Amino acid sequence: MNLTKYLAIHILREDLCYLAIVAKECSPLLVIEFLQRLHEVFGTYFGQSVTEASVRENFVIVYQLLDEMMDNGFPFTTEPNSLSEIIPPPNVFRAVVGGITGQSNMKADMNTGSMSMHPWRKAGVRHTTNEIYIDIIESIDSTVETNGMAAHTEVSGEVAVQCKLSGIPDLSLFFSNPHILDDVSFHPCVRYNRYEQSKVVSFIPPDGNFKLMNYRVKGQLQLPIYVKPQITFSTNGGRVNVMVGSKTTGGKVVEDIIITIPFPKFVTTATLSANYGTVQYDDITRIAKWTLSKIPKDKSPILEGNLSTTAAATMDSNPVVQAEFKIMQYASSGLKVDTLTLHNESYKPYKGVRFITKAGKLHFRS
Amino acid sequence: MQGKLEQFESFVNKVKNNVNMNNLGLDNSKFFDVNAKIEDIKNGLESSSDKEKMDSMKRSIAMMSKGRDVSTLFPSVVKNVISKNVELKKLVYMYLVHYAEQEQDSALLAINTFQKDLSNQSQYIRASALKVLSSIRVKIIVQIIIMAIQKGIKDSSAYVRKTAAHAIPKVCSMDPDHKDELVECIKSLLADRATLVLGSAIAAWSEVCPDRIDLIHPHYRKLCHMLADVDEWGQISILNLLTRYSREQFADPNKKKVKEGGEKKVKEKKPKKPNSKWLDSSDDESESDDDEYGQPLDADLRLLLDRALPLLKSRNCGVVMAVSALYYYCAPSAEIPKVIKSLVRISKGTREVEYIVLTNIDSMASNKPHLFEPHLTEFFVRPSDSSFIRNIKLNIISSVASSDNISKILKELKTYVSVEDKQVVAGTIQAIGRCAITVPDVADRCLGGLTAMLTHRSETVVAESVVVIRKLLQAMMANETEETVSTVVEVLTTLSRLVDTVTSPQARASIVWVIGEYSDRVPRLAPDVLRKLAKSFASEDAEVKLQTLNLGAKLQLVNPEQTSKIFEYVLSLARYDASYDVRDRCRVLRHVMSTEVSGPLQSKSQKLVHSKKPVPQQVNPNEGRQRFMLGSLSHVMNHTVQGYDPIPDFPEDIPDPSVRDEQIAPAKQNEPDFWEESESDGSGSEGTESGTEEDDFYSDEEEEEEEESEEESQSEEESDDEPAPPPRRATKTSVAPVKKVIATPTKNSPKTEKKEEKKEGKKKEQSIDDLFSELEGEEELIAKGFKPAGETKEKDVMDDFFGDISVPATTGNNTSFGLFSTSQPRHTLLKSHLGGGLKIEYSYSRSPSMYGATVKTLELFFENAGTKELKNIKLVNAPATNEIIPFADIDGLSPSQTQESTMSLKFTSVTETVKFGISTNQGEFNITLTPSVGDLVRGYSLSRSDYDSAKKRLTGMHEATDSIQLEDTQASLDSLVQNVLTFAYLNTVEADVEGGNFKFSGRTVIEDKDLIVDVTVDPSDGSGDIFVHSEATVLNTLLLKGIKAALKQ
Repeated sequence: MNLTKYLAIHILREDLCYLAIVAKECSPLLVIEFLQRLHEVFGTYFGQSVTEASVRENFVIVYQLLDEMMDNGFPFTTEPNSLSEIIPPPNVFRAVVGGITGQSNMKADMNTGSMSMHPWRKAGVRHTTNEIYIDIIESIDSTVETNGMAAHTEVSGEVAVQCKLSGIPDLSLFFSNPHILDDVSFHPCVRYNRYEQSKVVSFIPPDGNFKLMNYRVKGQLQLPIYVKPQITFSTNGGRVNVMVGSKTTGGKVVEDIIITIPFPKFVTTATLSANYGTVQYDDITRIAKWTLSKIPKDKSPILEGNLSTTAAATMDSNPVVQAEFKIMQYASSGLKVDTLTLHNESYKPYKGVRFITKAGKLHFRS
Repeated sequence: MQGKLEQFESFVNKVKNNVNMNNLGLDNSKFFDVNAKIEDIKNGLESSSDKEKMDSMKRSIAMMSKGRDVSTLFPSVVKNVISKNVELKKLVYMYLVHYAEQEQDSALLAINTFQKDLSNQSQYIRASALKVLSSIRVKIIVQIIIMAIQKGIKDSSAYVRKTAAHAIPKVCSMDPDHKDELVECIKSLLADRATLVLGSAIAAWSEVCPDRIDLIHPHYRKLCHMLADVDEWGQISILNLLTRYSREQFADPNKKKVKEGGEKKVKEKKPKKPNSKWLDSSDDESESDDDEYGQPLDADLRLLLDRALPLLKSRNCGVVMAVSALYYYCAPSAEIPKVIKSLVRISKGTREVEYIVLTNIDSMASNKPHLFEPHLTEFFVRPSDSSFIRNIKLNIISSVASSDNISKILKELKTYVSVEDKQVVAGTIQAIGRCAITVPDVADRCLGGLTAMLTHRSETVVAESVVVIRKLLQAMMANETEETVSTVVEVLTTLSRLVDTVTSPQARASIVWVIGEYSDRVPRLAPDVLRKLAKSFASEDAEVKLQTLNLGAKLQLVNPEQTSKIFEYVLSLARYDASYDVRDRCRVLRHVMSTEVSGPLQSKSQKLVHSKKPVPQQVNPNEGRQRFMLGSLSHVMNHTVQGYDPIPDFPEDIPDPSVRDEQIAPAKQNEPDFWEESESDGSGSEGTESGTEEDDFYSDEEEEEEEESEEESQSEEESDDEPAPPPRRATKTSVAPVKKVIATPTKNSPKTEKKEEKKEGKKKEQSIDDLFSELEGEEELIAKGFKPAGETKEKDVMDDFFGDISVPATTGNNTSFGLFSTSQPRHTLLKSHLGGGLKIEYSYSRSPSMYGATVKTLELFFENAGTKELKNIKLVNAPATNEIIPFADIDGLSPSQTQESTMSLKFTSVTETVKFGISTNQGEFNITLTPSVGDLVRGYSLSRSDYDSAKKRLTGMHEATDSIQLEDTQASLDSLVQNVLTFAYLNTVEADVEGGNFKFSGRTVIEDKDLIVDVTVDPSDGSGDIFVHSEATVLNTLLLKGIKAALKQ
């Protein structure tokens, strides 16, 4: 029997490779989740992007985090809030003071209560202004057939929260139409049973940024935009004609549209032009990118052009066109937030809710 | 004003510059860039400034991470361990963990400081010290580490207790000799009620003593209740554990009511996959009515399933996967669909997650396609999918194919065919082929589509199509109708024309084979194909040449007039071919097809060449994975990863469910302390407000559960007040368990009784027969799982201990076969995945051997758990050292068939293993048999006077003794005889439960000399002594240890 001694599991994030060496049977998803969490924690510690430089810059913290997050091959403390009590994030002020006095920037002890109560929230949080922002970001995955019908459409949503509330706030998020949510997953702070019973998302939030929940919406959904690609090849070249337009967007403007057309390998050159936006064609990758800042109300944008091909061209090649876009203040699923209520604390926080709809894996067959 | 502003600005700039110049230690990357001298670092470490020390430490850590050896700094670093600066201390710890193993002597210098830190008032320091102490792999200090752990598990801080739990496996891997002490620590950690600790305690259990399922029993319900509150990683460990637990402890929820042979029928239905026979059995029933199911779901299993379900909402994919595996393996089939939606959700995660989840879905879908049918469109391939994702998706799609959705699938697959990437197209064609075999109704349509592909420009695509077409044709011809015949002829015609154009050898060979096979359908075309091939023979690939020879042979039998000349020509070409294979084939065929000679071969030539070929099965390329447990690393790798343990089958005999009842005050004297302290901790730090908050937090959602656990804790606190309360005293909570104990026998009895009857029938010849029939009415006997091993015991002894025992207690056996099997515990001799499908279990027979007193008989249970028929199973390579009377050779064992047999052997040593081999048609497998101490003695009746004289004779070095402290004296006394006899094959001479005097006698198996065991217990406080006397000193010690462990249970 051939038994490999070590196995390596890795993930690639922002050009950094996180590698875990595994010596025996374990849950591979646990390992991947852990590596992912590691990446996220590094993100909260070093600012949003984790790069080789930021890891080098903070290598002592990296070691401390690794030491705290993993013990003997099993995850230990992984909640950012708990971690920040044990290992304070880099901070200019503290570093300056520490640099002069030589004092440690680690706390001598952590707050005993927080570990066992709500491990995700640190104790004794104080903010001068209490505010909470909720971003609901929906992305649409769909594959559209040549006849304009979607073979499969799905909206996946993410509720990201930026929480700056003092004390131990107990929040309840009410949706006007929770029944449209097909499948949900929550941050551990959410009380699952409460949601099961009354579809209310009730939670004591961690301090700072976190992902409160993810959801999926299925069913007959109208895509906010349409793309009609016609790409035909004949014996002496090919023709391209792509039309883009907006459909139902609830009066909101579709922004930042990028249409990507990957041409087959036998295409040698492409001359493309559009009546709106800019077109770029890369001769090496044979990918055309059509960028539109928005879809104009007065005319319908069209991309046209000719292709020259080599002899090896096959007639039945149909590239799949990919589309990206963004619509602010619009939820394609129709999800609506009713209220967000705060219990336990007496202050009146500033509350903000924002919707964004964007394209996920959106493909149009030609 | 202006001036001031400027001044301020310049100050700000100065600060900025300083920061940018890294003078202040914000940017640590400088430590990487400069290659400092060891000498400088050393000076820094010994300087008086904390800042210097910090910088030096950082520098040395940076060098360490670059791979430089900085071990020479060790003495200077160790000195700094006493530092008050937490960050510095932390760095020193890191360094020590890295180098302590190679600098053992210097490392010992730091031990004192660690021990001091273990009592530091900061829980963080205590935990860090424990963490680093246990990470230092220096064997000399293992006792100190264990003491630190023992202290740690009683710490008031859950954080420290969690650290202690993590420390346990570290020590165990360093020095397994101390396992027993560590297991005790795990035991008390399992009783911890802090959610923070529980997950780590289970992780430690899984790593150190996964065989001690008995430690889990009392906490099973607690684990279920607390599941939702444990952290995500702990949830994964607990779910994995409980999945295995359920498979070992509960009845198969999908098993039909016991009708004779009912189960067998299911097994026979799909003999191809006996590995997954339980899957099939549940699979088939899913359509049948619910009332077909056997006994209702065990309440404990129900509890687990209900508690696990909400975890599907977890953000952690590992948790969702673990819940899915639990449901897939342990839930009634009707409930499995509950998990599918979430499983599909996580399959859309990052690409790493996507791959793993999809491989799991693939395995599930190929066994239970109906689960994923509603989600079909989610598995449609996206242009952005990478090849490995795409292939799995295609697999899933073809598994899920049914006559309802096939048109949708084909429509989708057709769009993939027009993609530029040839690999995609080839994969798609294979998928179409699999669909067509799964859903024969559409084979026609698929065939049409595939024939159209034959004109594709790409060789790979054509080759793939031809191969798939060949399989389809075979499948269609197997059950031909008029319609299919016409299609087949059409396809054959197209194929025969392709001989001119297709160049891929594999495709050509397939075409030639097909034409030869069905030449009778195209009698006019076939000879022409042969003619063309004869012409191009020299330039063909060997593969094609072989098929050409076959075609010639086939045609010569059908149509000799037109083809014999061509065949002769081909043969003569092949005779001088460069390839051995072609020459060999030529030689064989020339002889077989010869018209001049007429021997037995020639007369059978028709049969040889034109035999009926088996229809190709639909083969999922990932078939092999299914033997591994879902969610495991081995499953993803598709080979056994070290430490993999296959998922157990549901037990035939259900272990006693009462073991999970809250039991006789579990050993956790310190546990109430945890409670009090951790509670006061909480309120102390967060104020009373937050203390009540915590209650609020859970109360609205889990009122019931909360109440329950509160009651539980109350009863525990009560028990804290009054020492050693009787277990059934607490009124509210314990009512249910008590009821259960009483209810158990009646619930179990009818079923087990039946089994007992069966067993009885088998063992007719045994003298115990009449004893059983006498006791048959006594349900208690069966409920307690009394084993026929009792056959050699004196009748009166049996009687009186049945009369006395009311609460079954656990026995000393930790085998996975449950604690109350109705026969001797079975051990595994050969695991099926190691034995090419052959699974062998054995148990020691406790009846006298016909070969003499010194020969031990083993009952063997063979099972073919593989997919192939096993033949000629026999014992080989019998060792020279041991006399072995092998089991009778087994001629054949078809999949899922079982057979029992016996073998006898002489053990020569108490400790030495016996090695031999088992050979089957699958190969030879090495077996290592470890003697079990309890069965190296045999019960032998001694009179009281003989007993006393033996005791007098066997003293000094022939005596082994140890003291024992029983936990719950009365219950332990009650079950003492049973516990001892379960462990060791002895004969009871005296059993005085009141007085606490127990005497057993026997003879050693190896030397056949007297052996006596004496147990005395003081009934008032449970303290006692065990004596073992015999001339076999090693056996004495081992037996003593074993009995002690058995009594501790």
